[in-house]
Amino acid sequence: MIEIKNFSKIYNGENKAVDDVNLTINSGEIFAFIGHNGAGKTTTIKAIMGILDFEEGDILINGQSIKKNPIECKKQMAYVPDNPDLYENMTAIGFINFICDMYEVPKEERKERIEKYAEIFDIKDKLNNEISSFSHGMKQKVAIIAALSHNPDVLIMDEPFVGLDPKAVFDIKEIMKKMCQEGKTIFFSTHILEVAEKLCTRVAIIKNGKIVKVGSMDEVKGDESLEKVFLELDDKNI
Amino acid sequence: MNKLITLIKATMSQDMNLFKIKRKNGSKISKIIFPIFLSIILMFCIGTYAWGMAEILEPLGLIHVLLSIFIILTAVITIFEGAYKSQGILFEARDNDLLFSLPITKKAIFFIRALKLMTFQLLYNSLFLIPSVIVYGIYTKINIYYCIISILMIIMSPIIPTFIGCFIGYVIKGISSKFKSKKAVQVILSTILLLGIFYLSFNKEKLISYLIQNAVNIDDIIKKIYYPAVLFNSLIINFDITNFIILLAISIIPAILFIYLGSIFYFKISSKSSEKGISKKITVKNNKYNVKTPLKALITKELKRFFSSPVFIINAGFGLVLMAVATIGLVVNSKGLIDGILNGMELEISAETIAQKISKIYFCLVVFMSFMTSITSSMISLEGKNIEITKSLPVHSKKILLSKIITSNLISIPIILICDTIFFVYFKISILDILLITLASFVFPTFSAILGLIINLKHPKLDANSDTEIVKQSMSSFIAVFSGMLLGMATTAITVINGMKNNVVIIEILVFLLADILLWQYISKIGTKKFEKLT
Repeated sequence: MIEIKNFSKIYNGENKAVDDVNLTINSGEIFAFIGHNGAGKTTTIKAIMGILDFEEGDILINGQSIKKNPIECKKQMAYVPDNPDLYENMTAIGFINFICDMYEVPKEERKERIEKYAEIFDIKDKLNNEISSFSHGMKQKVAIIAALSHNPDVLIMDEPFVGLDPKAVFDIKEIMKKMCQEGKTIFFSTHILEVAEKLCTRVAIIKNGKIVKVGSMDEVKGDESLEKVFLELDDKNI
Repeated sequence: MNKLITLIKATMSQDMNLFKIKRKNGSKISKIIFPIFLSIILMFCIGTYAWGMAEILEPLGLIHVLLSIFIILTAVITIFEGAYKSQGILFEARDNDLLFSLPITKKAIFFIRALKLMTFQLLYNSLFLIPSVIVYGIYTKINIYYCIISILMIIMSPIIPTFIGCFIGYVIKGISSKFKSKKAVQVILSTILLLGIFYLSFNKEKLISYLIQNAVNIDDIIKKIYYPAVLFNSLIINFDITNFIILLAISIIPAILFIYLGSIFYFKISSKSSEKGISKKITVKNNKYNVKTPLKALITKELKRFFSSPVFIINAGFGLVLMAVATIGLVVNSKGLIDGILNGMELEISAETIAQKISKIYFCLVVFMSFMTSITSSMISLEGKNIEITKSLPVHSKKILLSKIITSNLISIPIILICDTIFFVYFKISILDILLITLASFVFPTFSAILGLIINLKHPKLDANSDTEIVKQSMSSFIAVFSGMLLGMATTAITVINGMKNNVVIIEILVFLLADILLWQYISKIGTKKFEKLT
């Protein structure tokens, strides 16, 4: 469960990137975070992950504050960044192993998971290649496998579908659904509104750092399409 | 032309960002105060040295040689630095893909890269040339003409050596790009170059005596060593338009030729260099899933990063290779080396005294080389955008920072200990000396590692265009190298001035051991917070 309470982030003491955001993402939920470029999605995600320091508000992961207890929070989370800037000099397996070491995943567990996900994402024969030789999509797959390799309770993804081939998009959606059934929390940002519409239990729309709409998919879009609602909200001068 | 200017502005803006002083919160001001302070101290030290030289040269009527010496010195440094830096700056910039995709000529891109290197060398050389120019001006007479020519000299002096350095770097990169193990070949070739320079410096007496025998006067010697130095000198003493044209021609024509000819293979070498090895067919081995503790995994990650970057290896290895060469030199030819030290330091100490104090001389060597080897001063900057992954890990920042210090020690201490062992076996020194040197071999590299990390936390450069920019041109590495140099000189001077006694050495070790503990406490409390705030 993720609880975002009165979260604000001001850059350089003047630019308010996120303004008093309040959100609760329950266990067993797939939650989409949508908004135009520069709306504050990545800032919020980075703050949830404890990558970005913030002054106002708090973010709780399963009841623990990311500010006060960052390590405990991070142990329960996995992160897939928007741009997979991984350790380029490592091999894919080296990187995934490194992440597993950080989360202290036992050998048999990691072996089983890595092989399973490498098989799903069709990169088993490329695990020994250096990451620097990978395309964006391949890097994204490595980042996703690394994130899933420690079986996180909370999965945070920033634009996870960018650069992935259609099969990989399908596979990741299936994995997300399965994790949701297992009671895990999934929070992700996306620009692909169709995916959000079909996949998510709840959605929040952020504009200029403020949440302008939040709720279940039906509550947010009613009889309209999510795209139409999003574009209407974007047009309004909020 | 407009396109070129726009391009220069865009590529330089990243580097020059540091010099834009923000007034609002003053954070940038505080960040540049220390580097400026350090530069002033360094220039003061160089000025003092120049003054000492001028006092000797002036009565002999050779004051004009002062500037020649400094021009030659900076030229040698620039060639040496350029040979290493050019490999990264010319070929490994992260914006290569972007620039190559633009409708601009490869010549323009190549020129911009070389210009960037030259601009940095200009700033660097100024630290040496400005004090010498001031000292020379005081000894002669300062007028407007002298000021103009001096500024012109400072601006023009890096052109020739930078392009010689670039040429060497170009050749190394060109050869290494043809191999499958590009990085290994690059490191090997660069090390050969380094060892070649050491060989030349050890044999400089022969070269100088040959030049003296074959030269008419001192100007002729300078002319034979580095012809442009004579031209610069003649311009300052008595402006001669012919010499000025010759100087311009020998500076600019080779540069244009290099840009023109170099750009022919530039794209090919750049592309080849960026090709990554597509690895062999996977063989699923059990050890693939070896479990490590978080600290061990972090150290492994750091070591892999270190060994993946030739410029990082060469830069860090410089002090260590020098240490190994000096130790072997001591073992093979201790008398010659002691004489060399005596001549170099101009100390009035007998060779016998030095021989008796060999363990303390070696102690000074350990101290100096430890301070000159600053690996951690680049480690945070080298994280680049990966800092987000590192920060998202469920590991305390203290452990992440500790892993960087341990990695640095794992690279430097074993080499120092090997040198220690060679020294101990060859020279029969007391148990106390063995103990003190061994202790110093742990205490001083640790201090250097912690200090480097603190400096890098204060001056991170996470948006660098290449590893070379971080390792060779960042504020952090600049501060680390020069503060290390000053600390090394100060510690060595204290040891020598106090008669190289055991008590002094013990106090020095204890002081730096205490400093290690205090600085680690600083990193644990304040450094971790700084690390967490990095974006």
